[in-house]
Amino acid sequence: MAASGNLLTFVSADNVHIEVERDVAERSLLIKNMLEDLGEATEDIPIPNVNEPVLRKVIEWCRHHKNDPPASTEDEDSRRKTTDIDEWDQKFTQVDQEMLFEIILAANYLDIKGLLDVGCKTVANMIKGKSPEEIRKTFNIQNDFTPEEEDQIRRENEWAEDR
Amino acid sequence: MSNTVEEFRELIKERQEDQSLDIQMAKQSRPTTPIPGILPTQTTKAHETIAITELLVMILLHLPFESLLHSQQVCRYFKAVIEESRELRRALFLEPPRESCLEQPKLHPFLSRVLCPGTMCDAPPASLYQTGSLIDHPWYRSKDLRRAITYEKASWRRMFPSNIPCSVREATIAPSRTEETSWLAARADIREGFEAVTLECLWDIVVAYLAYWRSDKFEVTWALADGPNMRSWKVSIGEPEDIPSPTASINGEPYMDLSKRTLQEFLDEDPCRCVDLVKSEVNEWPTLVEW
Repeated sequence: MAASGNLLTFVSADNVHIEVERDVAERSLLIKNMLEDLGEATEDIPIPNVNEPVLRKVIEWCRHHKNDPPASTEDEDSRRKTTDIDEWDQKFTQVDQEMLFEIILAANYLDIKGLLDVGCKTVANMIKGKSPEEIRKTFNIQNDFTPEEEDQIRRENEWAEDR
Repeated sequence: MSNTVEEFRELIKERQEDQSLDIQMAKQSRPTTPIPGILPTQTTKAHETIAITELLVMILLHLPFESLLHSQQVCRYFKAVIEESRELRRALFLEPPRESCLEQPKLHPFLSRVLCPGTMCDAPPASLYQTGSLIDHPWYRSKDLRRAITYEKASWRRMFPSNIPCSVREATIAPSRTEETSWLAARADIREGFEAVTLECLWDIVVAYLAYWRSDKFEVTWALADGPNMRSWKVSIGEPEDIPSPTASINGEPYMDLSKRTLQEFLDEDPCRCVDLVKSEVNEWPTLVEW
């Protein structure tokens, strides 16, 4: 099925065709740049590495945010400051951990800055206030420090530990 | 066998170089490849995400100071990423302040946490008086906390007091010395005047002040100065106004205004100056304040 007019067709990695409005699809810089290069997209657009459920979530986000002002290029301070996420996005990111990271990887690949930020903030909120051991458990990360190394780092930063 | 922190740092550096090359060649797509050898088996999407260094940096940038500091303890790769990322180092006050006036001034949390509890550090006013009194500090009364804070390799010592430049304008320190006193300048790492003071330098000046005046009270004054290209803090360290001036108590000798000199120059000026404090007193601050 070829896209016509303002409708494009994405093809997910598991070969499912999903129709999406052009202005929604253009939240992705990758797609936007590609469409600009091509002029008119007349063929299906393959999205490798992104499976149907993830792609549907990503499109859902883009559709909700299609009228957002374009992200300013380097607004470092405001980006760092807030870990506040708006209500809709909070509900949107209430998914299991595997799906959350799938969304982040897809947003990264498709270059959707707003969605990537929301995903990273959500993960940061999962890390915030946790001990190193709790962080390792959360993400199944192996502690590869020697006991001496770990003790050294802990002592260097002990002054900032909550008591 | 896992990489060491150093090996991870090398990998991250290579990656940063590759990417600046990509940008030159106009390949500006987002980085999607993981760094090799990070996690034994990349089984989960979380591992896959974290292994893309740029994504881990984006995540960690949203953490508050303390969480970011402690996340260095998660694993060697996390530590290496934080050490190699200029943005993360900046968030930890480890990078010298930038030549830019765009950022809102912030003060290091150490100041409100340890040196002068209760200070506003996130959005400090243009002029700020921090009064500290050691005996009133909760950490000072606890042996464990004191040990943690005064630990010689504590990370705060290498950090900068603010995200904008600081210069110590004035410090009312010992106008005299006994034998070798250049240790103070050496310890405070004051070589190029009082610009770019680290927290350790500030701390040493406060300690020298307290030791000299045999006091436990001090005041740090921060005044925001607008320069042509950037803003900076002018810092003064002295006695709180509500206690009798130490100046009066020491044979009428006026205290020194160090505005135009470095501490080293000041100490070298007159070899007969004798500081009424012993080296070991400052090096072992916890005992110093137990008189």
